[in-house]
Amino acid sequence: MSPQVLVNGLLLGGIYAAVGVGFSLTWGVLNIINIAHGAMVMLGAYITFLLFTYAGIDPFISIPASMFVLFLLGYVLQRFLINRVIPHGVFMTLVLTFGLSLFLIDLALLAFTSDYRSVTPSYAGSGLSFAGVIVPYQRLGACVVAILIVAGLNFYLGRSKLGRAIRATALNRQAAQLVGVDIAQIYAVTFGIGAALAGAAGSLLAVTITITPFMGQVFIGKAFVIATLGGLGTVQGALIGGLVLGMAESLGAALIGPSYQQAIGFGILVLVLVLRPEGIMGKQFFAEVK
Amino acid sequence: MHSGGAEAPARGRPDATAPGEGAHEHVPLLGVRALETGYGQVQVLWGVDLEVRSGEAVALIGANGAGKTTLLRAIAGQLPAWTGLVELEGQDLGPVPAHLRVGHGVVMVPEGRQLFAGLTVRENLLMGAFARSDKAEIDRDLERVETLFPVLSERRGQLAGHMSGGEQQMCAIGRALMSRPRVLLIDELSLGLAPVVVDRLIEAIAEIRRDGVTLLIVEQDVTNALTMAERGYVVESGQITLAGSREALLADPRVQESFIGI
Repeated sequence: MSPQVLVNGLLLGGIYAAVGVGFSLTWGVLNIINIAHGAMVMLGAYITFLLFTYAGIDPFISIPASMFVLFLLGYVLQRFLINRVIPHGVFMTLVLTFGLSLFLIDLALLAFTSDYRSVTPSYAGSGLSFAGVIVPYQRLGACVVAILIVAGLNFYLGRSKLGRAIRATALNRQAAQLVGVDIAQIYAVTFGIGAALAGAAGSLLAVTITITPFMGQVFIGKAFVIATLGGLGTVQGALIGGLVLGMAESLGAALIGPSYQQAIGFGILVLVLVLRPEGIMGKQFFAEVK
Repeated sequence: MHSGGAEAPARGRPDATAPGEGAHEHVPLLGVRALETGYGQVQVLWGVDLEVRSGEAVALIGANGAGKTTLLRAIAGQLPAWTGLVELEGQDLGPVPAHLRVGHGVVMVPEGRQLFAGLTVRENLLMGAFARSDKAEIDRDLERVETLFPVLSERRGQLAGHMSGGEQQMCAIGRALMSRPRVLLIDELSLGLAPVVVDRLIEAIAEIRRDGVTLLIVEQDVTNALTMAERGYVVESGQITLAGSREALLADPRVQESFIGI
């Protein structure tokens, strides 16, 4: 097996972590399975595409822009739409986010058509090369930024007052309300952060894959695997889950064949659910079924 | 240590009065007027009147299912009043949502502690100060709480869910104190705890009173309840059926028969 396969797996895994972490946060903290996460990733990619094509802004520089726009979208959706449905249970929020997903994809079809788009900055196609291993700059940059974003989120949730309140709300809503936390506000902010992370992941994907209104769909299944593999609602879990999935897909494609990529991901998911249902990095007391 | 409770607060020992005899010269700190509420279609409270004056410790006594917890939850804003009022210094708290009542000084230690099990002890205490932004004062209160319950300092990095029941209750009270309560509502202080732990908690409650916190305590054990409180209300089937001073309640045959054992 060539070291190139391992490097590819690592690079893929970093981006997977970015895709999965927002999904995991929304699920673990809010108990909302956000099927629209993939569509939000797609919107992030289009924001990067538009800024690159019409304003010449480097895709990596456009990351904060797509995070900001997606945060606002996520905040508004949660505050005015999803919060109303939460009392009716996890299945109803799943149906709602499924509908939102269809809506956002069709909106993108209307706005951008189904033409394939790509973002090709000047450094596209070049890369580092050592010991026979090629590391494209775009993929390396995307992986590094993805890991920085995940680490930043981990730091924020662990150290900031709002981060502590988000974790506390995940653990015990009623007690959070009793110490003065506005639950609806925390939900909206958390969903906004999840959406912003989807936007960042979309910007990173824009430099590595083709952009279409449907590009996000394949990542819903992957996000599911990543979040569950790592442990719901934990940031480190999403990072580990992403890296494991990326590595497994890359190794599997090389050893067994590329057509088995999806089967490998879900096969690992089944194994983990049987052997360690709380996920690899699952923390006690978090995301327990209540 | 302090030299006993007898000479304690300078604000003066309030005399025990039955509800309804009403506010003489002062508006009570906490007032509940003709309160009715419940869950869904099920009415639990049927016209409850109650007063707690500043500096008092008042007990709510009653059997399981009498409505004591419901009453505390309505005061804390977790249940809306169907009719009637919850007042703080005469101001109607009705329009104030639960998460903002903390800022008014109405703080609850809920039944079963309800700690953030996956957060550390220190993080739990800091969550108690969530509604505050006075950094220096928060640090001082943290020190005060950890002096009151040294175990919370020793275990500051431990997950709250890994502590014993008694330690969790101390953490829950500590978290509530971090909210700077004016009136502290405690639901089932001693439930499920060892007698030696309960004694320690009762001592702590006395110290909290000396710091000027007003208390409304739900407690199954009437002897414990009236050790902490100088006045009490008996709740039965969602109504106040008896009210009086510690001595009056302990001497009342109905209290003796129903709660202290025959």
